[in-house]
Amino acid sequence: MSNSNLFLKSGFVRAPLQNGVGRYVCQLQRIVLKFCKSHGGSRGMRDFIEQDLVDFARDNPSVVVYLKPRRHRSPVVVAEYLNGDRVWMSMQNKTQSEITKWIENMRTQQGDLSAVRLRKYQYTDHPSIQGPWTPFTFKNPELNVAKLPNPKFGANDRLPMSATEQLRIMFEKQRISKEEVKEEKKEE
Amino acid sequence: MVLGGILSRLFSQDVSPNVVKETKEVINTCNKLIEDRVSRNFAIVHLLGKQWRVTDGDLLVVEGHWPPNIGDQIRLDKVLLAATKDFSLIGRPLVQPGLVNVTATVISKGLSHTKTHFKKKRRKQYMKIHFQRLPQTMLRINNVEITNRINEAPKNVY
Amino acid sequence: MAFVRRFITVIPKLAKHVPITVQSRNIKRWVAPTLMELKRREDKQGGKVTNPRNTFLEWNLEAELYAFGKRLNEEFDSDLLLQAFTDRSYVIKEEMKQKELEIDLKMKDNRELAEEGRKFMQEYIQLYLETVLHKLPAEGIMCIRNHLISEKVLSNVSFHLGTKDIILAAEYPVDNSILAQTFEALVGALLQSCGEERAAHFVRDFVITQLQGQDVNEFWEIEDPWTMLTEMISKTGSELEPRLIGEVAKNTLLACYRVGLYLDKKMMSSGFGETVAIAKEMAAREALKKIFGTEETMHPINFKLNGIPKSRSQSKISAS
Repeated sequence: MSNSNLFLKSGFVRAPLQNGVGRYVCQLQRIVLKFCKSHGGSRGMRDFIEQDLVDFARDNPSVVVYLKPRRHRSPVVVAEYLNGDRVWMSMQNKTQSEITKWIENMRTQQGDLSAVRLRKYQYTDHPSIQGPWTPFTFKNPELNVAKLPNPKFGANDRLPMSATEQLRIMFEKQRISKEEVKEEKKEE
Repeated sequence: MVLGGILSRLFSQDVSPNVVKETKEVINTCNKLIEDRVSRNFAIVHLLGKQWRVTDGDLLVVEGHWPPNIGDQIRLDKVLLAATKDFSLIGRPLVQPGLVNVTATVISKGLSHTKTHFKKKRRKQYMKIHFQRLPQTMLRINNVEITNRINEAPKNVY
Repeated sequence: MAFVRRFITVIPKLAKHVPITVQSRNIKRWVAPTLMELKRREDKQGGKVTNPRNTFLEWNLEAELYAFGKRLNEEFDSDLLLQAFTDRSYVIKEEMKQKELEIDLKMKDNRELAEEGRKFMQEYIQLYLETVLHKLPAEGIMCIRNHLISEKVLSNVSFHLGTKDIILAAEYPVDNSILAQTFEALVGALLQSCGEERAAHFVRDFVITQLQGQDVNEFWEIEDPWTMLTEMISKTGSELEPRLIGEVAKNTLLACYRVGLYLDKKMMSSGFGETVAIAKEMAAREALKKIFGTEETMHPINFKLNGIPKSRSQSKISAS
């Protein structure tokens, strides 16, 4: 695919600080929930805070949750990650279940994944284990000391005998040669 | 190249004793290399309908809904090929179940960047853009190891 | 008159002013000038002004410290943890403030914890590397250890663990040296709170795993691999023979020579280079890597060893 949208940066798969090789560290650092106590657009947010927030905070002790009740402001969630990314998301007019899903999504991400288009879906430090191909890999070592031109190395034997060649040889074998014709004539 | 069902061939009549002896020697050498842990291993693993070439310390991103949560340790079972620097084990289609152990940890689960799926039928007044963000899971491969000896019964098979 | 009568229906429409505008779904005309003005103001300020996180309204140091411990799956003693994050510059600043207000609140800084942590890290990393790369000589291990304890690596680890917001320091943004020192102090605090084994696992999971993906030979620079190799081989008494095994494009710019090293008539390694001398040197380096067990296809370093491994001298004594 072409890099048609030049505003969306492209990058490769990376994990901060070799996460997963040693112990696994949850990448979400803190989450700030800003909402209005009375306005209608914050209804889902208020329901989430009343019902699901305490469970979320208890299940994820490594995430610091801040609540900011602000009058006449639309509800917003800001997630900050260990690599410095800040993800701002508006929760205006979202239902409680939608908010739960988005917050769960923010918890399991390792940064702002929507900002980077992944070019490849794999990353490896060792692309070749059995050794990458070099022109020397399948070369016959006898070529080092051979005196060229050599009939053995110059022979035309790269491809197997084709069907046409086989037919031609069969024809030549069964062909009556000039000497045989002369002998037959002599006998006659 | 070590084939899977070599024992069945040993019992057939038309295999010369030289070939049998050579095969046994090859298997013994491979077993010794496995025990000495000389080389780094890689495996070709079948996951979510796709095949991935995987070695220790790799990162993998799989697209689509996948249940495992972050921090989970997963063992990838469908191994099609396992290899070291000196020999390869080719499965038909899978390698013996207890032979190769590939473990991974789930690192992150999130939604990809917004992909635009554009459809148009010309001169038919039909045009639409489907914006989609697919769920992506990132895996870190912890270990690819050949735990058993070749041509012997596996130890832990469920 | 006939003209007016004919066009009487159209004239009001003509009189109505229709503005000539072209609307289109693209970057609007005012966007670029606005962005340029914002950039001008930013440059006047001298770059983007970032405020430290602890000046925000939503900040709770106690909660952040608790979450920090939980994130790393470790139980720190809360006083020690706060002490680990306090830098000397901050203590000095606080003391100056307190002199004016005449209050006396002693705040401990993280220098002693950092020293303890650094000493423990050095010893543990040395032991771990000796166990994991047992064929590598002491000089190589020391070079890898120095790289792992260097300010660059430790500050990177510290940054990605989320310490830059919690650190109490005089200036913002925090220096790399302060980040590295904070990490060492964390190790020291963990050592005092939980004991040696947990601190060892912490160092293993965050510092030693930085070797993942790195070529271990990069850190130890060998000036003359050929003499080193011949010295090592002469001790064992085997025969070492270099031979030219391939040459391509001789007498051109892109010449490539392959030299193979044969130990007791068996091939040990091969190297390639633009001249025969370079190829011989590369072959010697490959041979050394093979002897030390650090080639590119070596068995990956085990990052899951538990406990504190015994030192080489101890294990040697036990073996004999």
